[in-house]
Amino acid sequence: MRFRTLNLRNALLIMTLALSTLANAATESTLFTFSEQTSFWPQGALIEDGTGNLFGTTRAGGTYGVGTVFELSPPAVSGGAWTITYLYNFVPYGSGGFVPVSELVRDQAGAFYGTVYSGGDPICNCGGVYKLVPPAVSGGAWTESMFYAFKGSADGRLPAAAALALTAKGTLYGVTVRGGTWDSGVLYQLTTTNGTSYTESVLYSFGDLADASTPNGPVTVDSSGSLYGVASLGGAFAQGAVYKYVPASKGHLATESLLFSFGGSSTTGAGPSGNLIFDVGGNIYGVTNAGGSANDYGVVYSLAPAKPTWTQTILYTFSKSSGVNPVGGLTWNHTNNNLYGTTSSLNGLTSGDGSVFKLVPPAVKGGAWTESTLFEFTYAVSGGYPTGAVTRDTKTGTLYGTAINGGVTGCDLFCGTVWQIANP
Amino acid sequence: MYRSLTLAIILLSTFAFSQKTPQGLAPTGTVNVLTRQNDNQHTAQNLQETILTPTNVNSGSFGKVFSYPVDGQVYAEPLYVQNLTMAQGGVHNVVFVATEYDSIYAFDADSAASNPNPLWHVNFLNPPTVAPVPCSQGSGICQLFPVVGITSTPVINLATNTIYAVVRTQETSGTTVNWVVRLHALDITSGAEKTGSPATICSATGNAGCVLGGTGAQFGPHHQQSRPGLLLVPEAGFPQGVLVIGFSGDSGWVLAFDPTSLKLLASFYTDDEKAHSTKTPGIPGEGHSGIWAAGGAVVADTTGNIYAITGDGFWDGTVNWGDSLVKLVLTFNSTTGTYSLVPADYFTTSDQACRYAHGLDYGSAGPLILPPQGGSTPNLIFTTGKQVGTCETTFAGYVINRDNMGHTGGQVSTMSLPNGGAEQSPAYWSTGTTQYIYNGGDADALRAFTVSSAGVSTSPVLASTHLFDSGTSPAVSANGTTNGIVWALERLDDPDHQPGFQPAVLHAFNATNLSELYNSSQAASGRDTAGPSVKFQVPMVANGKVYVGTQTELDVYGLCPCAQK
Repeated sequence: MRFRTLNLRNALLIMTLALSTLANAATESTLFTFSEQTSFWPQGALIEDGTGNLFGTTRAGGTYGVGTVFELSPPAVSGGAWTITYLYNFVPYGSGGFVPVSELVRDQAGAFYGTVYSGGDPICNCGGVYKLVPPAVSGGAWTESMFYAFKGSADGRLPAAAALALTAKGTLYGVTVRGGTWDSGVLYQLTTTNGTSYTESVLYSFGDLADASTPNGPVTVDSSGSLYGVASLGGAFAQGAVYKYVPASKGHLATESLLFSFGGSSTTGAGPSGNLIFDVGGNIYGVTNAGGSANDYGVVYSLAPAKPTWTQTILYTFSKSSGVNPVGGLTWNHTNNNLYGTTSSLNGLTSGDGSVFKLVPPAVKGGAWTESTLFEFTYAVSGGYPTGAVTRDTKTGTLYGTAINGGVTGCDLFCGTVWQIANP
Repeated sequence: MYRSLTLAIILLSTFAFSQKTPQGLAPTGTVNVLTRQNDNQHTAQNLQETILTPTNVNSGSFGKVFSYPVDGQVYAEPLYVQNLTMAQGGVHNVVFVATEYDSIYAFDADSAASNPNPLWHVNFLNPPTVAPVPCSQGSGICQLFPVVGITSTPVINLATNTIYAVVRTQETSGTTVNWVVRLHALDITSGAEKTGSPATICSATGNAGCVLGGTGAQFGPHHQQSRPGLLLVPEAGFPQGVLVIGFSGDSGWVLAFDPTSLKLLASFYTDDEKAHSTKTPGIPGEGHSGIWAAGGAVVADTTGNIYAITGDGFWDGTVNWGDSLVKLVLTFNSTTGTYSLVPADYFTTSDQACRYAHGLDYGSAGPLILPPQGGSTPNLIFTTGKQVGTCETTFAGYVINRDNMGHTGGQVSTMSLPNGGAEQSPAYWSTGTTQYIYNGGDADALRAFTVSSAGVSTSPVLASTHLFDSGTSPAVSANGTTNGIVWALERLDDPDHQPGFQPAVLHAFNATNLSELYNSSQAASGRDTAGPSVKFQVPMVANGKVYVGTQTELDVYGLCPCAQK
């Protein structure tokens, strides 16, 4: 009898633990599935406002087929359906540009900024930078304007599929993948005094000799005004680099330097991609889309300040068991320093086409980071090819993101989803 | 007859098969590229290239020399006319570029620095009422992105200085949206419309269509895409020659036009739905038996027979032609005074039913008509299609006898392709002693087969070390039987996640051993980087330069000094 009681107690304990674990298990939900008949190809990271609305762009579809800006609103009642509202449908003619490629950034007044790949200058058709201003009266139409159209020469062309950096003064920083002195991309800024007209300045042209080439990630601005980002090509080993740009200051010319060049060995990773994040110690964290091993599956790395180049540490090398080839960058959970990200594709798992992963820092400095796969996408059900960074709700910890395609059986190439993962 | 033959010689000035031997032409020092893959047989060979050689094509002496921005994606192969006297004055070598934004450009082919602006540029849009077709319309699958305008490679008639192009638009009047497909004929010296141009092939709303050629089937402009390059077939039995246009959509279509009046002479469609469903023929179908083949689905031999290869679809060998290669003959009915395109012969893969069931097109790759060979079956066509491991144990290409196509499973031979299906088009070249077919299947190397009176080798004899994830449609430049170079474009973006923005990569291989001579990724700091790649593009080589269409620009490669550094 005692034995039985103990067994019952143990059983209850196990059940409690199991339920507790279940309650805390990462749970994925598809919030919205796009379609070829409405809008499709959601991309990159989402923006979340204070009331839980998510904002993003689709590269295609909408009224004119060439992209949208959308708002996805949570249901009034838990368990209900999320509601999509199209704030703007891009138009494949006129001056507004089309095919939005970047994630959004938002200013204090609620306006969104982003980049388009097509339209703009009628000869160059090199894309540009747009602003989407909310209506003065609720329910009115949002107003889009392309306030800078690339000309395709020294000023750059074809903006990267990366979010702009927006400062408190309203200055925007971004990169193009082509154009500039070497036609290998530029780092540009757009300044304004009135929020309406902007002046573009090329801060730096990439691509000379062993310089970085084809910048492709968002620009990060530090407290001193220095700019950081990644370039997918170039560098000392022609496999991409992390760059830093220090603006001119009194007595000093502006400088660009490569903090790290990928490809010096097979383990360093190749083709850096996505955003860079910093810890309080000034270390940089990011991902590469390839390299890391003979399989070319990519890595998560950190860079520690050192001279002449920063010191790289590989935090994780992707393998088929975890998903492969990340495109989006990383997201912090600042309370425990966990990192979150996505892998894009081809993870070798029977169910998946990309994944969401978590990296937990080592308990002891110098130890190994621990990777866990939070979710494996099933192409025809939950979407595939997530290429954006994860958006983390700092209150609930819930993760949000996009998958470029899939989500519907028979939607061969496109559609796509917005997803969430609770309790990551 | 004499007139037709003369026209043929003019039109086919770069064609290999106007010669009697398969070993290639003697160089004559001049070249024009007037149709996709250089000739109606789609050999994709320019045998009059005296500047580019395996010796000087390397990253030290060869690279990107200039580029021209364009307003949309370039799926059509650029075309080339040398020493053209322009209406505005001046004589230029001219490269013609068509875009999905419904533009045609004429650029100076030799120098963007001296001629930064187009020699002429026409655009067929008038927004907002006349706009390009969003890719999500019609088929609902954005195989082409983001808008669809001019997809098929135009064709040029030098005898009349005319370039022909098929243009798709979305036209709005009030609340009515019309989907329109037009045939334009433009003066190549000015871009001006020729008399009678444009001709509307079909304009209709929603899923409505137009009955073409008295067939009873409807051609639906909302769905039909003109993807195969246009052909001018002077030998087809019409005094002015015949302009041939292929389409894919609800059904495959081949339309034959009088190139002078732009009037439709005859039509042929590949999917008669009333024979296997209750639907109205052609509208709205399910994309059956489309004629596309990566832009190279329609070819013609030198006696005027037209061959169209089809994608998967219903097949009955009479009015439904899924997964088949159909030989069409333009036939005049003296009683009615009308023409028709008669399916005179065909080949169908023996696994057709399996292909149809699994959506695995036979006609995903362009056919190649080989030059006459000796032996008992001198007239051959080389074809490949999508990989069909579900239906076959190994992937194969098919060699068909043009004189007796064998019907179902009646190929002359098959050859083993070690990897990958094909969604591209092959090329042909002869050293004078060895004839090669160059084929670039998905996720495979560029491979060469030999051709002789014994047929096509059953296995490849050469292979590049470089793999092309998305396959490639090669082109050959040579000075007759020497200095052969195989040019191939690589698309780096994942074929399942298209279209991306990675640059096209131009490769050059020694045609006799497929060792790589050059690629546009080799030069430091992106010196030779091309614009973002598109599918199905074929590099066009003329007079020492290689022309590459991309999503955003025409890139031109040649002997350095190169554009950067």
